[in-house]
Amino acid sequence: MLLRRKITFLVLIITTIFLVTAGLSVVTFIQTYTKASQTEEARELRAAWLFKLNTAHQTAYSISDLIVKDEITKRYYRNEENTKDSRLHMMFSNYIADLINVFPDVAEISLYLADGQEDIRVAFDVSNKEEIQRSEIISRIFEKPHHDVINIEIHEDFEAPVLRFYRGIEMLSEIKSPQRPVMQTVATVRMTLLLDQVFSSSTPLPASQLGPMLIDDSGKLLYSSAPEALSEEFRTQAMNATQGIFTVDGKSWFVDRYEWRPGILLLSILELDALSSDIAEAMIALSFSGLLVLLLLPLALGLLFRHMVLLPLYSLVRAADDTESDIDSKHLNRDDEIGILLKAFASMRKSLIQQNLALRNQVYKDGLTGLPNRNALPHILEESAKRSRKLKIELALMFLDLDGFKQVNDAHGHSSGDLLLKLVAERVSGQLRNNDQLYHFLDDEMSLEASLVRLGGDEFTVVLPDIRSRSNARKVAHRIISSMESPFDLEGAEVFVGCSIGISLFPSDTADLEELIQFADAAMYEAKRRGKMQAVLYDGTMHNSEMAQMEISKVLHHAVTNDEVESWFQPKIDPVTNQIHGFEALARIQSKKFGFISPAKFIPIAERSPMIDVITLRCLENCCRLQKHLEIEFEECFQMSLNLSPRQFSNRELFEQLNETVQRYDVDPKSIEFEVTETSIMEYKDLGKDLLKTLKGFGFKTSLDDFGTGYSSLGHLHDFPVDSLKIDRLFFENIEDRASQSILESVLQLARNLNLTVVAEGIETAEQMKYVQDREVDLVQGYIYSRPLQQSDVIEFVRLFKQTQNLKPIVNATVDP
Amino acid sequence: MGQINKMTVINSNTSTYLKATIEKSACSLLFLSLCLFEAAVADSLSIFAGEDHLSPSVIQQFQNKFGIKIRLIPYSRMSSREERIEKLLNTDIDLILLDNTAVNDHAKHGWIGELNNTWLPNRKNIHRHWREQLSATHRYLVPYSGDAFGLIYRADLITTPLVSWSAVFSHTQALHGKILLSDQPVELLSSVMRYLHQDIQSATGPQMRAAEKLLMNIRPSVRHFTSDLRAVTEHLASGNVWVAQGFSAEAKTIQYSDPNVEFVIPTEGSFYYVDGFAISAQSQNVRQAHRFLNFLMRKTVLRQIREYLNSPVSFRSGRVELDSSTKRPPKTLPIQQSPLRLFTQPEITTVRRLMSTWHTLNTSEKP
Repeated sequence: MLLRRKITFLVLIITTIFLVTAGLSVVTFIQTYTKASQTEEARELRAAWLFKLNTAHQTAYSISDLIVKDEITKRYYRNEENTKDSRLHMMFSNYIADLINVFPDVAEISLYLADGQEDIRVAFDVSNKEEIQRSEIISRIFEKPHHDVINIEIHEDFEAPVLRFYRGIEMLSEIKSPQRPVMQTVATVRMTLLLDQVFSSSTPLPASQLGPMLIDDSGKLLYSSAPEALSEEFRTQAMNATQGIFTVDGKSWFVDRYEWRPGILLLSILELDALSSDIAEAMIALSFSGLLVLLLLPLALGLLFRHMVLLPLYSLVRAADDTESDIDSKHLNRDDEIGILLKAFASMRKSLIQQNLALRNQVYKDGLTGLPNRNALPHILEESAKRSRKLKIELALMFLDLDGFKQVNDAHGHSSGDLLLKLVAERVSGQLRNNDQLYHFLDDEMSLEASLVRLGGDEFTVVLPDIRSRSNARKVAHRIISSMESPFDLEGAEVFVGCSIGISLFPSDTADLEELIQFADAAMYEAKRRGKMQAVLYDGTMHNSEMAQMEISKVLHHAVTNDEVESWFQPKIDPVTNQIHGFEALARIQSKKFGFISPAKFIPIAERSPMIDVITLRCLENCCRLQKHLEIEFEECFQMSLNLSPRQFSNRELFEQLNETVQRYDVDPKSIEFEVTETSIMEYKDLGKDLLKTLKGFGFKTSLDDFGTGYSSLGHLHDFPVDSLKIDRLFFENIEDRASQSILESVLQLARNLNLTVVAEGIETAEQMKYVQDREVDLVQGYIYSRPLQQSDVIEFVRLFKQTQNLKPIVNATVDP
Repeated sequence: MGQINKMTVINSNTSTYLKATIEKSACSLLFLSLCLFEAAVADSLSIFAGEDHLSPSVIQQFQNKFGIKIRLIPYSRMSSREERIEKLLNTDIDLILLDNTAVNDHAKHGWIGELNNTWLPNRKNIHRHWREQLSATHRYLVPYSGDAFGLIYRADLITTPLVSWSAVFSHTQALHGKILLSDQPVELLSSVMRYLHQDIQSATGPQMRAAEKLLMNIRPSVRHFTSDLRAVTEHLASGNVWVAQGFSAEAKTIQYSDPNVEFVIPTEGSFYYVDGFAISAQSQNVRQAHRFLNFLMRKTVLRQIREYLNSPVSFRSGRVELDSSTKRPPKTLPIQQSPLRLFTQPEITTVRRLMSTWHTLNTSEKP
């Protein structure tokens, strides 16, 4: 449709431009043609008159040539005596008369002797028999041999303007003398042609034209057939007209002047008004017919264009828009360029449809299970939501996460994990009834498994397009969970996995499909939290905690991006010498909206993204910077500790960056200690061991944090290349408990045996202090000395601590909230 | 051009000639033998003339008398002067028939030779008046016949005998469109001038213009301008033309086929030509030619020639027969009293005027 509109618009524009151009052209043409036609017509007229004049001249010349060359002429004029021979005269005279009869264009032929006598004159209808005196021109002919003269004269007899041609008859003199005979002019022949006859025409002149006009140099009229020319004013104007145009008595004339012979001007005169009106009439007729043609032509062209081009193109467009619609076969069967194009398009279209199908499957299909993948989920949901809205029924989205899949993967390898996922997919699919499924979106081949989607890893979703109630959704979920109870056969090995399912409903929970997924996800986490292997329907509280997490994530992101993650420092003190050994750096975020955010909240969120690495690097930079300040201030090197997340264990690039930072600040790596929790080390044993070795390799100190809470046995302690143990605060909270004391004793003993530095953290009371002092714990960290300090307060703290050597905590320091 | 009547060349008697020679002078034997030799060698004469100009009887007499064979080389009546001269110069012609106006032209160009009049003693048989009239041609020409220009008419259609040029130049209504005039300017204008009682030889400009005016006036009544005998004959015979200008000899010829035709020399007067023989300048038989010419001027031969040609002029008697071809008794006059004048070539000035008039007439739009 757009093309048609464009083409119609284009045709209109072109037609308009065409019409305007044509109109302008016609106007210009009329103007130009009028001027050109004046000149042209005048020239044509002139050419016509010239032709007649020249023909007359040629006739006169030819006849004179006959006379001059004829034998009888030579005999007649052989000598003077002969001319007196009356018999010969009669013969010659008859010969001339015969010429006149043969050439009726010539009105008169006269011959003059050298003595001036008129010898012969033959003329048509000449009544005046008086002998004509030899004229000046004839004298000239005798004086100047080989000389022709053409002249316009008034005939002496009938007083009409005539064209006269004079030519000498020359002969060798017969004078017998020693000298060589010389050519001498013995007679002059004069041909006379009536100008009225010369210019006579078989067709009458158009009203716009005057007959020819001949004038001499001085403007004297020699000949004219037009009565207008008789007026002297007319002649003067015609002679002097600039650019050929002049006006006499209100009439405009166009004159063309041409010098036919020296002193003889030929004027061709046209009446301009008559000419212009003739041209205008012709032009108006031409314009109307041209306009008609111009109007009809685009219409005809448009129809032709529509039939030849547009209709096939519409067919093509329809076929391009709608895969169901084919190109009209009558267009396809055409053997012209359009037909070729349509055939090529049809072939391309078929190929594209096939490719598109393949691509869709590739994009929207999970390679492992053959289920729709994460990309397909929004489409499936959209289709289902449409149907749901239309039929006013509820749609349920289940979020499945396998329980214990990681262990299977770790224990049996990834290929077994993959096999397990396939089996799970089959089993879940088997639990879904046909009407649970959706097959609008994908092709028929995939339709049976369409409602089960693998999001990635061990996460799946199920879209239930039509549930009558929440309990129905729960029933389906329980059916799935129950199906997991039987073991999966992984090439001989039987394994058990369960699944946790979160369910959200559309539109009762939310009408937003993205939220629907988030809600199902939140419900799934809730199921996990509640102990796994169960299905949980979403409710609003989940939404709130989920939303809080999202908000924290945003704040964290903002803080990291704007370098607002602060490092606070808590001192580690040797309780025996009462000397500050070093500080542990702790990350803190102070939000305007949420106030102080606990690391326990934002660190897990940070750990899910590369933000944790940024926080670690910033923290190390702060440690280095502080250490330098302290070194300058107190000429003493304090050890700086900071934590590493288990997620960073395999990040070798981070280790390089850590090393590079230390070197950049020119800090001894031995004065930097990285703390990793015992739990994480035990969870990622190999990775943890590698990490500790790497850190040691860079010269860093290492420490096991929260020691005593993990699953590690003391027997494994020697496997880890650590420099110190940091005993969890739990042991000191229950200091009076015997079991705790026994464990502490054992740990202290083992650490001493392994030559590890022991750090007691969370020491807050005098009792706890006394206990650690009694046990000669190497270092103490806790509120008993100081809460974590802002970086700006550390120097002051050190100064005061050194001055007072007091064990009391710094009261006026900024308190960690 | 003047028309020549029929004549006969009579063979001369050789013995008479020899006897006369012996009587007149005591010529030596050598001379005699020379003459005999000459006669023996020149046994033929070539004569260039019209086919019917020479009387067979006269030729036979000459051949019988002189033993000289006459070979006639005829020229057509309509052949041009140029054709005749071409023939004269390129063949062994001894004698040529010319009219009196052409003599000077031919002599001037050396085409004809001068006569030895001592060999032409019979000139004395020509009447004195004719000798005077023809004195200008005496050196080159021996007169043979004379022909007058007049009117030839259908007597059966024009009941009143015509006597005047007024029959054509001031014609009656009955003759409108029935007139034929000569296309020869001299003949035509001479007759007009005669009608106007003028002489063409001395015509002035105004006189010539008056003649021209007259001709232009009657021009619409003129059916044809021609001098072709065949055309004249046909037109008269068919009745398209009742009256025509022409020579007496032509009238005689027409009468053979149409006895109703009559000829008259108008009373205002007319002109005549004289045709005579001249000897070719290239002739090898000059003497024999002279014998032939002398034979023609015998009295008896002159009579025979006139009768053969029915010529209106009589060289022997000096009389002119005015209505030679009529069946009425001939009306003859002595030549000096006759209205006929010998036509001689007019002066060039006259000819110019004459030709101008003629051209006017000729080039004017035909009726």
